[in-house]
Amino acid sequence: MSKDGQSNIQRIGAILNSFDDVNTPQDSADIIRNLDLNRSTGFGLVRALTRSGWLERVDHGTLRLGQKAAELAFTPLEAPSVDAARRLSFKQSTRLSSHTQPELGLDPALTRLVDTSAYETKGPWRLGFANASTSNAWRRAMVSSIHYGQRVAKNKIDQIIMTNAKDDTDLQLAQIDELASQDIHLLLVSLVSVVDKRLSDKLAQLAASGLPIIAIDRRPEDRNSLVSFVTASDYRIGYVSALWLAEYLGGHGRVWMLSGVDGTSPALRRQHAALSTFSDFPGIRIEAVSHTDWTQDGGYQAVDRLLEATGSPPDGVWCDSGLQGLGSLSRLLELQGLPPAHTGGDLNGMYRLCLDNKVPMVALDYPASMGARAVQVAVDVLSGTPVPQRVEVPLTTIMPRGCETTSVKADIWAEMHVDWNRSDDAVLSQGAALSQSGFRR
Amino acid sequence: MADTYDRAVQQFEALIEAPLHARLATPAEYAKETGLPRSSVIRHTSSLEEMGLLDRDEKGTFLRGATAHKIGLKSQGWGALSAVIPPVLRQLRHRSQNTSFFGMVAQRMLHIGAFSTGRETRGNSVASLYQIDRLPKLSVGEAVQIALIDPNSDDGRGSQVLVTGLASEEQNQAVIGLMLPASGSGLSGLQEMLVSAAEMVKASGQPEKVGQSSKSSSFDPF
Repeated sequence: MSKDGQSNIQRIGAILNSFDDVNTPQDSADIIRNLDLNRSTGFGLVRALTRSGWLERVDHGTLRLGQKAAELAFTPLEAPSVDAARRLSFKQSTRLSSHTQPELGLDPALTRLVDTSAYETKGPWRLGFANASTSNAWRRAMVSSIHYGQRVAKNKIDQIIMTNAKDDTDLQLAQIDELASQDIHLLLVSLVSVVDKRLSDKLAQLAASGLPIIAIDRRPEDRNSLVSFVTASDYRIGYVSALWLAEYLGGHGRVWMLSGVDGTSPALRRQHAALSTFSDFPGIRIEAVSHTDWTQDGGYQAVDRLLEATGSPPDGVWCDSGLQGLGSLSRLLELQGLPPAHTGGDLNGMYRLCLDNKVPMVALDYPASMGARAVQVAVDVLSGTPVPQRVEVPLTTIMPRGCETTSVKADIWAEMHVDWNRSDDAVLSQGAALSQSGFRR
Repeated sequence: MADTYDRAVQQFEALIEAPLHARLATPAEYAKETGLPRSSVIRHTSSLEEMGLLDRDEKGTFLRGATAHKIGLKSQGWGALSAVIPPVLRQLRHRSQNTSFFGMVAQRMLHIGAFSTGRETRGNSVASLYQIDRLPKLSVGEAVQIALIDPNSDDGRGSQVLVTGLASEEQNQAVIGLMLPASGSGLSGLQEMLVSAAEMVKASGQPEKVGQSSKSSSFDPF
């Protein structure tokens, strides 16, 4: 490590990343000057990189990325699953799902890039995060993930000022004003309500004044004020979980639907996708649609009311998250017999309870690691790097062995996903922020 | 004898290669895989993650990062595609359950870029480089089946893949593709999906200013 605080590993990364999208050759001296490297160190590294094939010489002493750099393109999007095929012993499916999806089910915003050159400034930066609430374990895990992202980008981000609106629209409006007055370079926001026009108008006003805004998890209906929206596919969560439940029940049965917080974009989109999917199964009868505030108590109370109203448990409970699924299941376990099939993960406790009681279930954990991903996107925006209008953190389909249906297969068994050493309210999808053995910084 | 800078390059290679070969989530695992001291691993993985050369998944396991992927594509002139390829590949994998990949074809060699492993073809390991027979010129909306030969395989066996073109520059062609299961079932559905995904990538175009996207008039499912 030298006086500039950079290691040679960092300098190598910076040299390789200094080439443009079409690998236009550069003069060695220009590379070294643009990166503000010490001349002797810079030339030493450039020569070593050229010797080993990371760079190659072109005409007139210029350099470009070489064959070794091309090998960096080889990028698995998932970690290697060592002998996963044997451990999971999947059956080969003989056909693709006959269930129709709209095109690829792919939002065009995922491949539409936003020009961020207008936001490029020299760091370190100060960010604001207007958070809707920290009222459940998932939201607290997402905040932990943002802190993790901040630690990763510690040399670029000076501060993230966070506010908590406690699910109150008026409070969030005031907090957004307060954050905007504190000379922040970028606003991260997770909105209390997708339908509240005052919040949408406030974001539009700030965007018009030149403040870049990134939404996390909950966005306004009109995306035009956003540079980017960092999320996971709520559509996919609703669609896959409803499809699994309908198929698991053989296309017939009574279903209760328990959504999260009324008026929030994830709850609306998951519910919309699920209702649309259930409508393809005429034998599925939706007896009730309730909101639970994404809390265990909300799920427990909703099921308690429905049991009283209907007199008997349903054949399946569709929950858009295990945050309320845990409460629903707890109430149904107080009855005699095997509880009905459930959907919804997120919480370690949901997996523990289902596995302990052999409850058929499927879950697509909504990744709390989107917090750290949003911080990465913020760094890109303030560096002037184009970013996608929508950034999706990948989802995995999780279920206990023996629960697969014709169309819905496991990416990972619940038995392997659950963490028996962690508490019920641990959110398993928060990435490195959760890991006690994670690298300290 | 290797000088300081050569050693730094060797360390960089070890650090960037390690997540391809094993699931690494702790300093001890990383140190064992790379042969580097634990303290160096902690310092270097931290800075490589900050630069986007390494990333971590939902379980905290290390992966090659978006910046590494982008440098790889830049070297072949396809840097502009780096942000749009991963989401399309993930969606292709979700829908088909087959391994999806981005590839660069030059001189009868297929260099594999990003890929997402599907359960139907999970048994087929993915190599970084394959020999192929001549790739026919692909017209718009066309996907073709080709055989891959793994030059490092003892018996020369490879896989069957379905590919469609994204763009071409001189002798270099960018494609996306799907590994095919041995049964070869569902080919027409896969062709349709692949062509649809390619259209999505091609439509990505130039970056737009904020607020240029059209407003949706009805409920926006995304």
